[in-house]
Amino acid sequence: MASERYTIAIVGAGPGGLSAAARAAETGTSHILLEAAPQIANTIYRYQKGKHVMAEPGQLPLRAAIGFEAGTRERILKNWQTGLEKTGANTRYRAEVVAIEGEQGKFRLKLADGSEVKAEHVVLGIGLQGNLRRMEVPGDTLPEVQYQLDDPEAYGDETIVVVGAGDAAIENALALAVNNSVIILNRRDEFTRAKEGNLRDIMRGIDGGQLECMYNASPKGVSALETGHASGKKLRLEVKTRDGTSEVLCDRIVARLGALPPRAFVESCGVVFPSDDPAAVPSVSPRYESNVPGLYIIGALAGYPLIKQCINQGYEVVEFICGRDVEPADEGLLRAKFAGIPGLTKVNLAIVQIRSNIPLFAGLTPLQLREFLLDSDIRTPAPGEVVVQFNDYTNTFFSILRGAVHIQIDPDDPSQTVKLGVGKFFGEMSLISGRRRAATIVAGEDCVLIETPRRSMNKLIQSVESVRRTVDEMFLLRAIRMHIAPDVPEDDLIEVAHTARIRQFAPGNALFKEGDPADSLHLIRSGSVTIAHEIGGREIVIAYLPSGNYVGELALLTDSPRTATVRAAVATETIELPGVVFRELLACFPDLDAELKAKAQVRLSASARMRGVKANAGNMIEFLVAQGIGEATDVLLIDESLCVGCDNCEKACADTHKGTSLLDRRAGPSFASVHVPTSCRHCEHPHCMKDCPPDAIHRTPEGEVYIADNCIGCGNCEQNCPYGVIQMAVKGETEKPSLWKWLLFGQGPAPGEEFHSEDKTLPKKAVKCDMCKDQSGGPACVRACPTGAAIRVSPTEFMTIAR
Amino acid sequence: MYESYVNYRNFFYLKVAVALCTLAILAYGLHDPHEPANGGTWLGYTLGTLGAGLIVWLAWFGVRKRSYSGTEGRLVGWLSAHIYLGASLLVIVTLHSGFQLGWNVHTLAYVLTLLVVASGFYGLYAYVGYPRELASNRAGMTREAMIAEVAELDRECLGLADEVDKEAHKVVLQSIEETVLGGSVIEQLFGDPARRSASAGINKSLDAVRQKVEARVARGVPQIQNIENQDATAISFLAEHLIADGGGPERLEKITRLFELITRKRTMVERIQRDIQLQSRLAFWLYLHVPLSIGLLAALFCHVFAVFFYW
Repeated sequence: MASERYTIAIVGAGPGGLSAAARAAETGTSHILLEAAPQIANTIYRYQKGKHVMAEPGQLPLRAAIGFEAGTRERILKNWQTGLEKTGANTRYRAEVVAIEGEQGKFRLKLADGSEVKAEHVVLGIGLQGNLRRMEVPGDTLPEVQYQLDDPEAYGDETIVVVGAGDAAIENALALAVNNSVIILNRRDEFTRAKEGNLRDIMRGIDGGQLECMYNASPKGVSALETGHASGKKLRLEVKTRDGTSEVLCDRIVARLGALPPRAFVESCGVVFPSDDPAAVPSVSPRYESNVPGLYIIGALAGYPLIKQCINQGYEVVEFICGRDVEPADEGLLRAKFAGIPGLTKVNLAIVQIRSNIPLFAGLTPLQLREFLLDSDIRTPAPGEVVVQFNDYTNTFFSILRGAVHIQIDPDDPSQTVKLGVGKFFGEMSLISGRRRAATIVAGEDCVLIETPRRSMNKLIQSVESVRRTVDEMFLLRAIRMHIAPDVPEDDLIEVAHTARIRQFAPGNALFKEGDPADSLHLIRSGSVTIAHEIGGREIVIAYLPSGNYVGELALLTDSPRTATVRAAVATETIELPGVVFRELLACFPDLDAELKAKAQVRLSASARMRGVKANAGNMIEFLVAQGIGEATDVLLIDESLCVGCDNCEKACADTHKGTSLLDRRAGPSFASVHVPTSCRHCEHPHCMKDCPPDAIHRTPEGEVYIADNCIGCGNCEQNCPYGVIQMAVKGETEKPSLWKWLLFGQGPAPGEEFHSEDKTLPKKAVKCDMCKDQSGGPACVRACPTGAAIRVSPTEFMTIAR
Repeated sequence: MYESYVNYRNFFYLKVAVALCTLAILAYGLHDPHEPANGGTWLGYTLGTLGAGLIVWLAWFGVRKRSYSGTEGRLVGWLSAHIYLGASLLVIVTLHSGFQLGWNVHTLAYVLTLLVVASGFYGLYAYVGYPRELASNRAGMTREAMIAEVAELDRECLGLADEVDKEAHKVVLQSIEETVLGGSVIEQLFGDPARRSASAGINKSLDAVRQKVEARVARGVPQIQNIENQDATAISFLAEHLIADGGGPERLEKITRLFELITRKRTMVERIQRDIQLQSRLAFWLYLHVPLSIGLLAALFCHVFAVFFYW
């Protein structure tokens, strides 16, 4: 097939790609926009109908040839479609790029249909969703073969084959089976990949004859039947089974085989990722150019998940390619950040100074640093001002640009301080462990600090190897000093820190087992562990230890094998210190030796006591840990022997949270009369924070995890929360009539009754427990419990509950 | 394990109530009014004011319970005080009456006070005992989950009965249609007597059937004739089928499975009934306690009004 040649080939018609194509069309640059799906903005197209799409960050100006403002999915898609058509952009749908070869000036883009596109520059804007996996058999592109299903109710009285055994396949098959005759094709002899609920439903459906299942069967080929075929069907599907090949006549095939993450494709184009971390994104130059010259990456794939950023980058990338210099859209914002600081009036100057003053950031590209600064605050605290408060739950990261800070090493004696100067950083302890601040830090003279939110710092740690290494080393040193050897001079510890390793453990994996030879000590860096003894062939959990504690010192002190089995309760990281080094350290510092022995004594006797306690207490710890309490900072428990089921806790919650109860008393498991309702655990490393595009989820200094008003309602946190405590709800302001009006005249909802705004057009946002942080007197659920059954406990109190 | 309404602040309000009662009894014993003890002496007025104040404050609990953003302490403390100080009314109000009772609005207020306190005592009894029983009966399931399980079992049974024969289908369907959860207030609180005796009967006959089936299987006898279908319940119908059926091993297996499912369903239904019963016992007393309290407030108003109007 003949190939065409363009100045710019844009891959992916998402917000970034659309904007790039529109700008190229507007400026008369020869271009082509290639989109694998049959329509623009596939990710947004797949949002549910009527979903409200936000335009965060609000302060960032939009710079684009197509319009964008917050609104419903439909309106935004329509605006983009008409905007794109108006500019006359050269768009080709159903054009999946399978390979990009060549180099700047002569890239060759291979398409799935075998054709080829030549371009001087390539802009990759394919996002992170990935392409849907195809059946990879002859005929898999026939129109009746589809790889997604928007509305199962659109089909009726058809014979439909669903291919796949995952959750999507099962859900589709069950939904289609209501009005159609459905056959599900499973490559294996059981449904192993499905969620428990889906597994139960599909087995029930198959047993009950609502749908049919072919096990050990995979598709071999599809062909269209001639119109008017005696069967009345449209497709012939050849199926490979254990016994050979069989044939199924059907009207439609829905194949749900998951998506291919785009990383493999991007790497095949020559682009390098900085680490194996699944969250890592390729680094790009200030002009969005990747390590492959001429290959540009914009949008979510380059680490910019917000629609507005993508649109701006689409515009800018075309400008850059055409050799026109544009001031980045964020220039004004950055300038404002440095406004108050003498000598830093120009953004570029500030960036140079930061890179030279703070070694940690020397390895960053200017674009990474800009992004990083955009999220950060530049602070100029007065001398003596408290920057970080001991025991607060804040988790921002500080770097010292000018001046110095003083760390109060003894919480009881503020006069004992250690100075930390220019180029140093602090705050990494809370950032990594998710726990309270370990010390109070006050500002010195002429201090300029960069304060970075947790998410931006974590993103940097994941994407820049040198930052990760430096932060880890410092954490190691400070953690050892703080938790094990506070009186040992830093120089003596550096050697120890060099021999230490960071170990990662999946939930349930053992750090070491009872009876193992003792060769090291583990300092828990993040997560938590359970300590168990083998009693009668069973592991009985006797204790739980959160991060900041160490385990394994007992065996080292007494020169005996491990006395207990220690397992990670949640995803846990430890610092492992080799026994040899540890013993050397003890030999040099007799005070430390004596102190550790005294501590060990206490632990040994406590553990002996626990052995005597009946196994129940151990089981309770196991139960609580299984409910995610190993990573909680504060959790609601209900004593079932006291709970009368009055639901006052839920009513109080709804009443204090705009009509939506954020806890479900009845849901959740129970053990020995302790019930763990569906309610936020305020995790140390909140899963909900993992993927929040506007970074709207924060932790207060007191520890509550809450969602701020700039939530865009994407629902990521709802999906990421393993405990199901986040809901999407309208956060409208509704005035409630008073209690007396309800009591005497029956007006309005009853106290505590769920009530919602009548206005259906209001956007839904994520809501979750905020521990009633804005009210005095503590959480309403606990305050409103008449019997005292509802209590909130923190990790240190779990053990007492267990006993 | 926790601080509850019973032991709140180490029984603080119990201590207050005991002190209050002791004080009142002492004063009553030492006080010599030169006339028969009554509400009109200075002690009578003091006790009366105290009692009336307490009653109004105790009734305020209903408002406090619903003001969720209220910051005046935890509700558990209020309940603890409500219970102990409410109980102390028995002493205070009785002494206030000076044991002068008659057929008038004053005694009505007194009797209502006693009734309200008595219903409150029942409430305390229910709150102390039933939650534990409720939790163990639920065994970690919610009522919705239990009902869903029954519905699911019903669906499975019906599907299976369809494959057995028309009559089985009919009987199972009838059994599903006749499954009643809840019922009238009396049935909720005390259970349906008819159902209870039927249940006991079924248990007995089930055992008999099990033995017969086992014996039949052991002997390898395919059919037992002449069994009258006297009882229309699904379980006994199936039991007879099990014994009498000669339709081959496959059919027998289906009937056995159906039998199992129906038995399981019955157990689940009984658990739900028990759940409803316990829950309604936890809640129903409030339907006495609250209206009686409102009646008491009205009577109290009349009592006070009458005393001062006819002074």
